[in-house]
Amino acid sequence: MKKLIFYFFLSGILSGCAEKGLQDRAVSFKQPHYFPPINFPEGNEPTLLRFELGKKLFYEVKLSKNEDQSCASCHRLPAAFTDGRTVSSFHENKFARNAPTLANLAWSPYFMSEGGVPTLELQALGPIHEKHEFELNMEDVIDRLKSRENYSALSKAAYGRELDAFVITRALACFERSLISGDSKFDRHYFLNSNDYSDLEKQGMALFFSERTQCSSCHAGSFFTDYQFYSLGLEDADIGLERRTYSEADRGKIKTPTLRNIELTSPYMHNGSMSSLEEVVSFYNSGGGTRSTKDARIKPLNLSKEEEAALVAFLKSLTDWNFVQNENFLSAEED
Amino acid sequence: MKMKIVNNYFFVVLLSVFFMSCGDDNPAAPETKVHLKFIPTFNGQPLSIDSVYINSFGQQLRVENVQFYLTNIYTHNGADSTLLKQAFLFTLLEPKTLSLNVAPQTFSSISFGVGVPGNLNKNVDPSQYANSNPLSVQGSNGMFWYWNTGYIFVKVEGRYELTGIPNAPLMDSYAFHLGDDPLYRVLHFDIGNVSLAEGDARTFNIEVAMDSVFNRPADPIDLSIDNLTHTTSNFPLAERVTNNFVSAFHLQ
Repeated sequence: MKKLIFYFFLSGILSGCAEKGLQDRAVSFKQPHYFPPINFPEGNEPTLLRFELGKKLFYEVKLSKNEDQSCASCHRLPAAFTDGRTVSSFHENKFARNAPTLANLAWSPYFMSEGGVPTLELQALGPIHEKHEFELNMEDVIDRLKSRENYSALSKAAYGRELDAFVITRALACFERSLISGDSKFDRHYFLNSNDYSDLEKQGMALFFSERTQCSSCHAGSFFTDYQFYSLGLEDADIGLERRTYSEADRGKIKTPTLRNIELTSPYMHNGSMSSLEEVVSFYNSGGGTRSTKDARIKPLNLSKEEEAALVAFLKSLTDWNFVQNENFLSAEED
Repeated sequence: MKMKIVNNYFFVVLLSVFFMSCGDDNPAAPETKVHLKFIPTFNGQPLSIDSVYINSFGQQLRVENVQFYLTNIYTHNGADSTLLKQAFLFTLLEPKTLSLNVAPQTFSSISFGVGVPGNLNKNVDPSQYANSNPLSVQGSNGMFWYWNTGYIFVKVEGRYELTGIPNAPLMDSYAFHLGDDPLYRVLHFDIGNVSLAEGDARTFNIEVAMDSVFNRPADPIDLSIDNLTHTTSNFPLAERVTNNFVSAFHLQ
């Protein structure tokens, strides 16, 4: 029923567009009080129509060369905006890395595993042009979308200009900034003093934040990431941060991913090489991989099986079920 | 009817006065024309994408695509400099002469950057530029990296074969995609004193000798080894090809 109400609400807005002209208004994204405020970029503060346009683009297959892939193909809501595949693939093209979650991007200081993209607006350009993703140029995207119902009107109402690269990148970024996840069992226990945290989860939490494991030294803060770059010692062809810095000392270093909703984002690691949280915890417990650039904190932990299980239980308590069931993030077509 | 004609005449006269007044109040700034014509060559002959060339290693190659940014195009007269154009993108398949309206001036040299300077390269959002700007998303025509934002300064692409046997098919491809701040280069050309008065036009032919990319005596490129760089994938090669490429520019 909620779905239907939302659908009709949207339909009302969009059908009103052609007849009366759209009316936009500022909106704020609901966020937990224990998250810092979002610094919205000037000119892309959230409004209802910017959000709606961004969402429409997020699910738009016309962005891809063969008109059969959208952002949502690799970033699916039930999987916390990942895709469950080892690495994403587009027809014969395989992308080199596991799809990252899009939760809480509003606070990310930069994007991509090497941190080479400074804003969410700029990041939106990448998948459209990238050969291994949509493989289309912006001119073609705009030509395709201009002929589609509502895009032009939404663009003018939301940004005061015709649909162009500026509008497309900003609207996508606006929608992505709304993907806020901070309502997990852990949050309710840690920030709101709920009583439903199990002993095993508490044990896992204590281990996670301990000097012994040092998990939280990288998976730090409200978002369980320090946004820095480290190697876990995994040996593969991905040179990571070295691509940007040209320094061999940075070989294999990848930006710390968030752990929020980690239960739903398997497989794990930048190359999707681990299929379960048990396997990941076991990997850390055994001291990680062998690459010479491995971070010094990755060393054998001597955790017992019970302690490993406790860590897994803690990680599973980071799942925000309300986030992955939030129908406002679904397209009208999927409703 | 008569009144209508009179009214129409009155309107025309009024309009004329209006436009004449405008003209008097805002005289057009005096202008001259400077044309920079880029002429890609190979071994002194105009470059053809269909021709097969031989490099220093006896390898056969075709040059199928050349694109490059020129930025901060200045004229200089002693300590005075005049910016003629912020950015220009040359594309071999659609070669354009860069035609600029400039104020009357005297100058003795021209300079430009090959590539995009740091302040326009990193942390810049190309979607903020109008489509007509060569640095915009559409204007950049594939000359932008999206995973590590920044412009591709120079693209040289084509095919090669290693045997040197005449008419052998060129099956393999090479690609040099050069960019990133350390590869930005500024070239300076002395041209003697040039004075341009109002209405004058001057064309400067700038040869881009593509054989230098492959055959510069100080650092020839062996395509059997060095045939691919996207800069980050092989920075040393990108640096070598960049140095060869900037040596290709000659003011004729």
